[in-house]
Parts: sequence; C-alpha cells; structure tokens
Amino acid sequence: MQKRVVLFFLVVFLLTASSIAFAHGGEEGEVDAPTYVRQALAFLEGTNNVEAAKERVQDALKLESDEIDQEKLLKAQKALENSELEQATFLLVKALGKEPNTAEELSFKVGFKSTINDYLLIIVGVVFIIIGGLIIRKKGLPATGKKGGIIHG
Amino acid sequence: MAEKKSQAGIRAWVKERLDLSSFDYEVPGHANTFLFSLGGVTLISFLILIISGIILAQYYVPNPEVANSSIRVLMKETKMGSILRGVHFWSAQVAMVTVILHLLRVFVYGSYKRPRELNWLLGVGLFFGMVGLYYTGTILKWDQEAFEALAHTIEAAKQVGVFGFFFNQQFARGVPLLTRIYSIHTSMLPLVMIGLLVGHLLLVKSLKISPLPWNSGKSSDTQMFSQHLVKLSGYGFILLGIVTILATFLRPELGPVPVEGIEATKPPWLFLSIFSIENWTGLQGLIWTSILLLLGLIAVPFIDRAKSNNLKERKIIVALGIFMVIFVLVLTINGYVAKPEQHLDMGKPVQTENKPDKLENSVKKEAVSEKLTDNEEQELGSTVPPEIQQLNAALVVIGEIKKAINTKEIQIAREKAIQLDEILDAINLQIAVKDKKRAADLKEHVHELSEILEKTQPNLNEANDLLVHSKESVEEAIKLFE
Repeated sequence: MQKRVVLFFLVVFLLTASSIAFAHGGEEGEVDAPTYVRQALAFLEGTNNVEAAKERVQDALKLESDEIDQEKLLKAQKALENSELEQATFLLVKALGKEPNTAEELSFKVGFKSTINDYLLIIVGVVFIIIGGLIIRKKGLPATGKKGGIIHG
Repeated sequence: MAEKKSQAGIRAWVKERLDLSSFDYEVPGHANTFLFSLGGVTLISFLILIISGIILAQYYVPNPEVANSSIRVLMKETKMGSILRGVHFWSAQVAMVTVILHLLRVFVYGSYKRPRELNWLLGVGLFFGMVGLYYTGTILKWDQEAFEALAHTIEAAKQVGVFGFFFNQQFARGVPLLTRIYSIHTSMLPLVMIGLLVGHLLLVKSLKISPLPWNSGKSSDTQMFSQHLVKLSGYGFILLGIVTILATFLRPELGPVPVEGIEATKPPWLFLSIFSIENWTGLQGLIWTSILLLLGLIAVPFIDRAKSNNLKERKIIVALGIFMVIFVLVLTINGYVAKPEQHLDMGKPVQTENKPDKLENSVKKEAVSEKLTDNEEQELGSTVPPEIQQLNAALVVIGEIKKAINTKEIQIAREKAIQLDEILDAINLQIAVKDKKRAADLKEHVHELSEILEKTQPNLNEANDLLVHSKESVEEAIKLFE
C-alpha cells in the first residue's frame, strides 16, 4: 500500500513536470517610444539581454517620437551593437531626458564605502563571530547528568 | 563577597518569577549538534527579520507610485539605511537556507514519525509561511523583478478560481494590491508564523527531541535544554556577525522601477526551480508544482509507515527525498542559466485590462480622475509620465474645489479637498526627491485648505487664496517632471 501511494505521487509529479506545453511568447503590441526605451533598459538591467534591448531600441526608433532624443537613441543603438553596454545604458537614460545618477529606470546600489562606520561594522561582525565561536566551544558545560544545567548553576 | 551575594539574590529573584528552571530538562546529547540546531538558527534569523523589518517599515511607503523611490531614499539619505536593508535581506536568505536544511534534516532523520506527525505539519506550515514572507518581501521592493513576480501570481490566481480571490481586483476595490501585500508581509504572516511557532516549540518540548535514526536511536549522553539554548545563542552571535559583514560588504541592490510589457528578470534563487518548470510548461506548471509540493510534504508522515525512524527501514522514502532534492537543485541551476521566457501576455497592447500594472494604475486613476473627459483620460493613460498624470489630476480637482466654493457647495468642496490631499500625498515623496521645499509648500497649502473648509463657517476668500497658491505649486511641480 505504502509503495503504491509513493509511486502514485511520483508518477503524478513526473507527468505534470513533463507535460510540455511551451510557454508562448508575448505578441508585440502598441507601445510608445519612451516605454520601448524603458523596456530596453530593463532588459539590460535585468539579465543583460542585449538582443531584446536592441529590438526595443529599434522599435523606439521606428516611432520617431518627440518624447525621445533620437540622436542619443541612435548612439545608444550603435553602442549596443558594439557591445558597449554601459555606454548604451547611459545613452538610453539620456534619451529619456533623465540623468543616469538619479534615473529610477536604473538599478540602485550602495557599495562598501570604506568609511570608519563601515570598518567598525566589519569589526563588530568579526567580534560577534568570535563571541559565538567561544560560546559554542565553551568547555565546562557538563555533558551529562541531571544537574548542572546552565540555569541550575 | 557582598557583590556575589547580591548577584545570587538577583538570580534567585529572576528564577523564582520566570520559572527558568523549566528550561532545565534533559535532552539527548545530539540536540546540541548543528543539524539539530537548524530550527533554532532559523528562529534567530526570524527575530532579526522582525526587528530590522519594524525599523524598515518606518521608511517604506506601500504605494505603487512611490514604493521604489521610498527605498531609494532610505538607501541614499537615511543613515545606515542601506546596511539595515542589507541585514534584513541577508537574514531572509539565511532563514530560507536554514529552514530548508531543517526540513530536510527532519525528513531524512524521520523526526516526523509517531507521535510527531502533527509537529511535522506545523513545521510544513512554518516552511510555507517563510516562503510567503520571502515572496511578499520580494514584491515590496517594487522593481522590475517584483512587478513580474506579482504579474505571474495574478495570472496564476486567475487560473485557480475562487482560491485566488486575494489577487482579484474586486476583493478590495480602491486599495492597491501592493498595499495589501504589505499588510500581509508585516502583520498577517508574522502573526500566523508566531502562532505556529509557539505550537511547534511546545510540541518539541512535550514530545521530546526525536532519536537518531541509527544506533537504535539511543544517544550516548544527555544534556540540559538550557545548555542547548546557550549553544544556540552562540550560533546566534555567529549568524549576526555573518549577516552584519554581508550587509556591509554586499548590500542588496534595488532594481529599476517596473516597466510594463516584458519579462526581463528572473526570480530570486528560491523560486528558480519553479521558474524552470514554468519555462517548460507555462503557468500551469507553476501552479501544479506548488500544489504537489504542499501535498507531498503534508503526506510524508502518512506515506512513511515504517515503525521506527531507523534509516534501514525507510530506504525508499529517503531515496525518493534525495532524488527530489537533486531534481530541485538541477532545476535551480537550469533556472539560473536559462534566459527569461515570456510566460504571460505581457507584450500585448498597453490598454489590455488584465495586466497587473493596469490593476495598480486603475486604483490610482479611479481615485484621481473621476471627472476627467475621455480624451483626458486617454492622454493620462498613454504617454504622459505618471507623476504628471497625478499632478494634472490634482489641477482638475483644484478647479472643482474652486467651482464648489463659488457656488457655496461647501460639503462638495470639503470632499474634494480630501481627494486633493490624497492625490498629493501619494506623490509628495517623488516631488520631495526633486524639490523638498516645493513638496513641503504644497503639503502645507493643501492641509491649510482642508482645515479652513472643515470649519462650520469657512473663510472662502482665504480658501480661494490657498487654492491659487496650491495651483501655482502644482504647476511648478509639473515642471519638475517635464
């Protein structure tokens, strides 16, 4: 009985996992030029998907929208073709009329700052680890017996 | 000597009142090993998450319009903000790793065997609670990854009918889904978790630590539970140290504000295996895998009918478990390597009703553009940046207040002033990022206006003056986003 139930679950799981019905690609829709540029940026920021970003830039260029700086967009396209991703990202943001250091279309990260605060935190972290290690390795805690627990003293 | 006496006195006083001696019960020696401390380590991570989460909540705005910006402000302008977020992030990673390892340890060691079946179920509940917290936490950062994760969940929820009610727009009209997820993350799930946790720990105490699955289950020695707690505090210190160092060196980044129509990100590592399955099978795979995982885990103690937890008697089920773990690892690696696929109809035209961003935006538009003409509404929904849309809507409401004041319809003016306040509150942070003074002025004008109109006999001239100032401020604010 037990084996049958196990087999049942295994078969159901494998059948489900292997019933391949490939995910369909989304159809292209009517999107405005700034959205195409934002999509291109999201592809670059998300998974460095250069091909998808190129397509979106191409789509944005086709629309010849006034909301986008066409010259910068063309430069961004060139940068993408030359695999200069940082440059392309910079130009795409500029094409949207935004500044790369404040644009919310880009990821934001704060790195290690090499300040006293940061070094202090590292020291605190190391001290915690040492204290933890000492507690774990602490000898003198009776290993057996009904008495001698920490709270009994 | 006197000092020692007073210390003993304090200890006795505390012992008497807290009955700490109840922690001095015997547990097998193996309870102090790292593998048997994984649950405790998860609990410590959970405590760190609660404390850091409470502080983070003071800076977070659970509104789709400004959620991402509010985190940026926290990271940029709040002292230690990025480190605090790092502590929360890394504690969550540690909690997930340790809860999974704890679950696997309990599974392999057969610690769910009679009479601990119910405790296994509580543990499964805790595991899914942690996954829920991890998932909702991912959504709250409201970047592209969060947006796509929510879009998937909304689509999946549609396919499970009534069970997906929470993600239905009709469930709480006018309240952004992000705001509801925030309440789930910060109140409902932690409360459920604490309830389950209390039951889990009480059962661990009353049913005792499970025996080892070899050597006839007998541990070579015994220890006091209080010693186990001390050891656990050691692990807690190490955990805190590691999390602090990671949060300082490797602060989590925040992704870009979401853009509709694409699937450009991958989920966090925890969901990469399911992501792989979804890549092959579509959304149905995601739903069925989740259901099967839940059912499978619930069924474990009832499938395994061996009389003891001895490994020799449980070869098949342990082998099956190991196979599943390897399978999930392979899927995770595959998910890491694979490119994101289009699973949803996210490339369809912007006006498609079913899209999650529309769900969020519709809430905003519903609140701000009740009286807009069709043309204006179309314009708002298409090319104008969302900040300007909001501010344009504010201008419309200002016009309506003015009209109501002129016709002496004070009640309507009051209601519209509240509406104006809500609209501007929602965007105030974004204005503040660009021009703090402008944001403060705007807030002050609108609050003063509300206060005047609230009076039984409001001074209408004063109200009109404030309206003029408010209108000017809004127009200036629009320029900031142009």
